[in-house]
Amino acid sequence: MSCDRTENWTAIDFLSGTWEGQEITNYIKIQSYPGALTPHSTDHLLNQIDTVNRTSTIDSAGVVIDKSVFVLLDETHLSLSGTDQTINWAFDTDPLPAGLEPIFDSLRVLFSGEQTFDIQLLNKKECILYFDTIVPVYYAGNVVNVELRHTQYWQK
Amino acid sequence: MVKKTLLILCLGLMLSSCFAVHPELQSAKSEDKGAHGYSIGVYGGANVLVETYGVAGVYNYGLTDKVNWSTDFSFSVQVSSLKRVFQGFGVNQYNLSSGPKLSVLNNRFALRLPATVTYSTEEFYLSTSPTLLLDVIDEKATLFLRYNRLYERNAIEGYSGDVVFGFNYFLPLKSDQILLSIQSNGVGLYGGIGVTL
Repeated sequence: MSCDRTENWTAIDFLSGTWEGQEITNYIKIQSYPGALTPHSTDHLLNQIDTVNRTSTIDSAGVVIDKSVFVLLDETHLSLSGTDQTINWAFDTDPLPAGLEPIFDSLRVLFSGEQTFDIQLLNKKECILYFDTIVPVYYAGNVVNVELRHTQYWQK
Repeated sequence: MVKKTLLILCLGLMLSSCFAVHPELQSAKSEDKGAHGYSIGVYGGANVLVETYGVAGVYNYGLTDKVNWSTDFSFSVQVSSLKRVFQGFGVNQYNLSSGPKLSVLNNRFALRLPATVTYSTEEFYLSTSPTLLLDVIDEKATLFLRYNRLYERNAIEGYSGDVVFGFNYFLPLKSDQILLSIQSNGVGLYGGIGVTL
């Protein structure tokens, strides 16, 4: 692999293979408040990108915990269709108070749907995927807009 | 509407845990009329969610022997680890505060009343940061209490802002020019080291 010539590689060539998790950060912001960054290590995860079948398979300690399909929209945008399991490794709910449960419920819907990522960095060794979105959080008949900035950092 | 405001307030208070936690790199004593005083320092710390690393500085100019114009700045990064800072990760925050500082009781007690502008994640936050400073232990240490109150332009009425309390200790080295600082906002603990020039 180290002898591969990459001059003519496109995003799909770089994506192909097994990526080791490094870190995922979720930045949550509510209207005019300063936000909170919730980073968590993902060094126990492997992401097998199969560019033939267009699948992303997440493995944790030898156990497949999630599998989704992706579409490479162009050289800098990737669309992933998540599953109900995606939020479990993409968002660390442990350090946050139980009072934020309405946010998590809304996030679960978001992560299990189709999400377009910006490919912020992609080369032979590193991949950084990012999206930001406004999540409507429903509570007692009201809606509060919560901004989520999600970044995934993978290495080969 | 009331329920919505309460929800925003509740969620906001839970999340806004790393706002303006920089140290006060000064004592209660004011500079003499026409004199200048500078301090710079580095700091770091953590709360349950994230680590914070930053640099800070303060500049005082003596308008009179008891009243200074006091300006401080800080730059900080919220991030998972120091290693990630050098990889370009994290959320940056810039603070600039400027306003008068009044020293009384033989320069042992001071009140700062600065206006503060904070920039983070492409958004500006305006606030006022009244700060009390009290010199203790023969002026070898300073206790401080800072209340950072966001202005009403903030959409959330009733949010009272963040309180930071801390302690500076001036080491008996280099003519007491080196100081250690510890401060907390109640949900995180932060420390730093600075030098007065």
